[in-house]
Amino acid sequence: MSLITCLSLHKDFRRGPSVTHAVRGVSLEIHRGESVAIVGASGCGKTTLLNMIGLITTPDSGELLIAGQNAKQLLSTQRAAHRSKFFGYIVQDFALIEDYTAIENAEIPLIYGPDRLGRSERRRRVQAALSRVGLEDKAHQQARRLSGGQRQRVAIARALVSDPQVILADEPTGSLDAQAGEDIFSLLIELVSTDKTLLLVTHNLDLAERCGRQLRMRDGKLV
Amino acid sequence: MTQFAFALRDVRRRPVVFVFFAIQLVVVLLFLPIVAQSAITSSRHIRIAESMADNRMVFFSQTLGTFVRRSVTPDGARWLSSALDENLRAYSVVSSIKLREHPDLAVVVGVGAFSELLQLKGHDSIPAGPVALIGNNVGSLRVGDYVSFGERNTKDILVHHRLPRGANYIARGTPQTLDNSLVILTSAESIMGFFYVGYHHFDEILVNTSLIRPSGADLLYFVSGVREMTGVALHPIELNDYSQQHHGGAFYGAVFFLVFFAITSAYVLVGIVVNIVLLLENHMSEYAIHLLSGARLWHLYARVFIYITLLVGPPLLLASILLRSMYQAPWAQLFGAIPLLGGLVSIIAVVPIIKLRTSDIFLHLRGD
Repeated sequence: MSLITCLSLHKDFRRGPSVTHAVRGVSLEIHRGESVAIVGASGCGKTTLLNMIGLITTPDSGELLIAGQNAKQLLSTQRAAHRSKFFGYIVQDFALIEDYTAIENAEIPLIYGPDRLGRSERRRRVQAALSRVGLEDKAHQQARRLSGGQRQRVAIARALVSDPQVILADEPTGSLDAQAGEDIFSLLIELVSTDKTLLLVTHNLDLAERCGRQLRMRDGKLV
Repeated sequence: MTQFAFALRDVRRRPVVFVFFAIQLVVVLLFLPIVAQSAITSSRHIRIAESMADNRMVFFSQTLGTFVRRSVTPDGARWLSSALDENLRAYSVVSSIKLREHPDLAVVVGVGAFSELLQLKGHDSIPAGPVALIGNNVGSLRVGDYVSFGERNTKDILVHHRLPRGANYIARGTPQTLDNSLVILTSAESIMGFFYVGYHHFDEILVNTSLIRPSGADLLYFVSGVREMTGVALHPIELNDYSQQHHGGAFYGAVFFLVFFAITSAYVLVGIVVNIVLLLENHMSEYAIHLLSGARLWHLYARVFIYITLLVGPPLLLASILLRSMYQAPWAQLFGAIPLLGGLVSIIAVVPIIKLRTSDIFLHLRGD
């Protein structure tokens, strides 16, 4: 059974009289442990598709099954729990809170997680996640004082801290120089290769080729 | 608890703005009730004075009290007694007397035509001798009780009846409530019998004397008599004129400040709402990160509510404590600030909550 199933997903964005058909009838299956890259030009709908899968955006029509459960039938509590525990998100601009330390940023999913961990347990897990991304010595550094590569490592630590099944990465190297991008992507592949599912959105064909499967999008459709 | 920590962090991020709004709120929350109270009091004073306008009362210079220092001699006291009790339509009060058995109870001893002024129904039927009346709020005494009055000679005086709510009198041009007082009606002459020599109560009687509908001859009789007996020169003031000028001026002044502070309050409220909306704007990407990490919208609402409570609560508490001490209200009345706090927080939170509900917060995750 597939871990994520999309059946004819549609999503439109309306601004005044104009309508943008961001995703038009996308169907796909992603299996446990797979690494899937979605490539395509800017505005082709790949981020929208990723956001629908990650329960950030609601599809206008179509079916989305997460681990066999219809996403439409999930209560808001379950959707929130999935966001903290089932998915780990990595975005291009790191999405870090600038005046929080690395440890505070990476701790956030555990605060809202269904496990209701105590502060000391949360801190222990965050320290472990930061160690995995090689940032144990920067744990108490504010995000604004970290380099781009280090910030993305914090974002990866945050994505992994609650041990999610699926990592959703939207242009994770888009804001980094070539070397830092290569380092981050290698780290990401290494961390998720064992037992996690990776869904990567990228412009970068070289990165996409290092994933197990590549999907191409154009004008809101898989081609 | 976590949202409280986040809200506290929001406060720490902009301490200057926070303190600025807190000070503004204290000023508004403190002065708005003060001027409102002042407007209500002035209006009540005008109403009371108007209701007594037909009496065309005359009282004497407000600064009189500062000149009268043990001026009333025994002869002067006797003259004043006969003037108040027999020769003139006049009344006066002594409010400095305390009862041994009820030391916390305010006592107003009315002499002369005081009962006539109170407009008590059937005041003619009140016994001539000393009689006690209780204000509407007095709980320590009941009708039918006796109160022990006097120092040199003590007499048990019957509490004859309870005064209607809002009963009052006028002393030196200013209405005074009797709701919390024990009123003892007696003659001025009897004061000499009740208390020891020294006649200091007659200094107070002189200062508080008001003449009811006096003729020119009455005024001349009283002013010249006081001059002769005490050496004090009296300056008569007509209550009706005084009330129009003094209470009327105070009322319009209070209304002006009430409007001013009401507008200021509206500005402060709008300022706080704008401040919080700006806070939301600045924090949208942070909220998006929290939502992405499993937070629900109500977590964000809670955070905004706590922030507003931290902003509004301490100034409201401070203003309440200051007002309580100014008006000597019981501590229990401080609880009245709780619904006010809830109401204020709810009003201020409406716009931010609507903004959070209607925004696509996740859009703020992407820099492009």
